[in-house]
Amino acid sequence: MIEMLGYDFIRTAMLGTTAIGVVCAYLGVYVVLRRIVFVGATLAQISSAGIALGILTGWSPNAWSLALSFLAVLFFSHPSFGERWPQDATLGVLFTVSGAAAVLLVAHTARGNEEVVHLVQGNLLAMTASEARWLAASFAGILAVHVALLKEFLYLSFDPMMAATQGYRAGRWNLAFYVLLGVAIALAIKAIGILLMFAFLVIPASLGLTVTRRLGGVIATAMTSAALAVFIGIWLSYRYDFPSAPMIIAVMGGLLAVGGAWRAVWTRS
Amino acid sequence: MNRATVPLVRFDRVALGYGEGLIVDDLSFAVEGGDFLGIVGPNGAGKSTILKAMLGILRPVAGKVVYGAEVHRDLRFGYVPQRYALDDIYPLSVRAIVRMARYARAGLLRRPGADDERAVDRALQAIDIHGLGDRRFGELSGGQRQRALIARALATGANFLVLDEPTDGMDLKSTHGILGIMRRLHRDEGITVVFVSHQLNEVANYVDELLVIDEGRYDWGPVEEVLTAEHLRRIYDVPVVVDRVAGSLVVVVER
Repeated sequence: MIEMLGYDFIRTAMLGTTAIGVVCAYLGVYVVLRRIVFVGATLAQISSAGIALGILTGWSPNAWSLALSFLAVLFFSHPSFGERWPQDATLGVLFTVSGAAAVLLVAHTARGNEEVVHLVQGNLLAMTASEARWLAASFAGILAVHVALLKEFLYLSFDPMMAATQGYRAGRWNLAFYVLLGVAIALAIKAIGILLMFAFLVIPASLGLTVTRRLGGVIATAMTSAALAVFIGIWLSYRYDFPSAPMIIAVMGGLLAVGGAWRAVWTRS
Repeated sequence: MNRATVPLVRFDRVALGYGEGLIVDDLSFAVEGGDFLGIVGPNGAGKSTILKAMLGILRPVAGKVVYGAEVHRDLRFGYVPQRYALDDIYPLSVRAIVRMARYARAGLLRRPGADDERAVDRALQAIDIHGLGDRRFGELSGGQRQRALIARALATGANFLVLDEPTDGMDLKSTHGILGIMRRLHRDEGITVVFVSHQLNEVANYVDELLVIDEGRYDWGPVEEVLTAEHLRRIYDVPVVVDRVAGSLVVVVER
C-alpha cells in the first residue's frame, strides 16, 4: 500500500478523486433526501454530452459541459417542471437522448470508442497534477458555499412552503441548489466519468442514512466513506490490476452492504 | 376606526387558481385580530389554496388580498403544513425542525443563537412536547408530529396561526388534543387562528367563525349563523339537519 503512494500519478488521482468524492457525497445527502436521484443521473448524462461536444469541436469540453448543465439546471429548477408531464418521463427522455448524443458525437472522432469508455467510467489515473489541484480547489469552493448556506438549503428542501411564508424565495434557492449541483457534476464528469460521479452522489448518502440517525452523522458518514472508498478502491485496482472507477464503486457498494447488514442486526437486537 | 374591527386579512372578490383553471372565484371574507376561523369544505374545494393566498404565497387571479399592516404592523404568520407534506426520510430531530422557524431571524450565513434556542424551548413547552425534542420527527405519531409543527409555527413568534388540515387522519383522542391546543392558544395567548378541515362536525364545536366552501359556493360568518339547515343546504345542495348531542353541534344529512 505504501509502495503505491510512491507514484505521483496515483497520489494525483487520489487527490482529485477524493476531492470530488467527498464533496459529491455531501451533495448526495441532499440529492437522496430530496428524492431527486434521477435528476442527478440525468444531469450527469447531459454533462457527458457536453464533454462529447467539446471533444468533437476541439473547444473546451468543460465549458460545453458547464453550459449544457446550466441549461438543464434552469429547466429542472423551474417551478413548472413536472407539472404538466410526469417528471420521471421527462428525465427518462433526457437521460437516454443525451446518453445517445454523447456516444454519437464522439463516434467518428480519432479515438471514438476510447472516448466513450472514458465518458462512462472515467480515467482517474490520467489526471494531471494541475487538473487535480484545480479540481480540489473548485470542489472545496463548492463545499464552502454549500456549508455556508446549509440551514437555508435544509429548510428549503424539507419544507419550502413554510420557508416561503417567512420570506424565502423558494424558486431562487432551488435554482442555487441546482446550479451548485450542476457545476459539481459538470466539473467531475470529464475526470471521473458518469458512473463514478453518479455513484458518489447516491451510495455514500445511502450508507449514511442506513447507519446513522442524525443529519450530521449522515453527512460525516457519507463523506468519510467516500474518501475511504477512493483510497481502498485505487489500492485494489493497483494491486489486482482492475480499472479504478468501477473498483471504487464496488468498494462503496461493499461498504453499503456491510452497513445494511449491521443495521439489520442492530435493529433486530 | 376601532382596532378590533380592522381586518388583519381581507379577501376582496378573490379568484384563485393554477394555470388556466379557477379553483375559487369571487370569494370575500375577512379575518380580524383574535378570530378563530375554521375553513371547511370537501377535498379539492380550494381550502389549502385559500391559505396559500392568505399567506401571500399565491397571487390571486382576480380581486385582492388586503393586509391590515398599517394598523397591525406586528402581523406574524405561523404556518402549519399538512404533516403528510413533509418527508419522513429526513434524519431530523423535533428540536431541529422547530429550530427552522428561527432561521429567517438568524439571517443569511448565521446560525441560530442562544435567544433562538430559548424560543425553541418555549415553543416546545407551550405545546407540552419538551420531552420529545431529541426524538426523530419521522418516528413520531401523527398527533405528536402535528404538535411539533405547531411548536415550530409558534417559534416564529407568530400571532396568527394558519393550519392546513391539522387533524386529518387522526383518531378521536389526537383530534381532540390538537383542537384543544388550538383553542387554548387562541383563548389564553390571544393568537388569531385559521385552520382548514373537511370535517364540519369536528370544526363547528371549536371555532367562533366558519367559512364553508363547496363547488364555488360559500358561506362565511359566526358559527351559529352559518351552521343552520338552510345555509348548509344552499352550500352542499343536500337536505341537512343541525342538532345538538350532549351539548355539541352535529350536522347530518337528512334521510
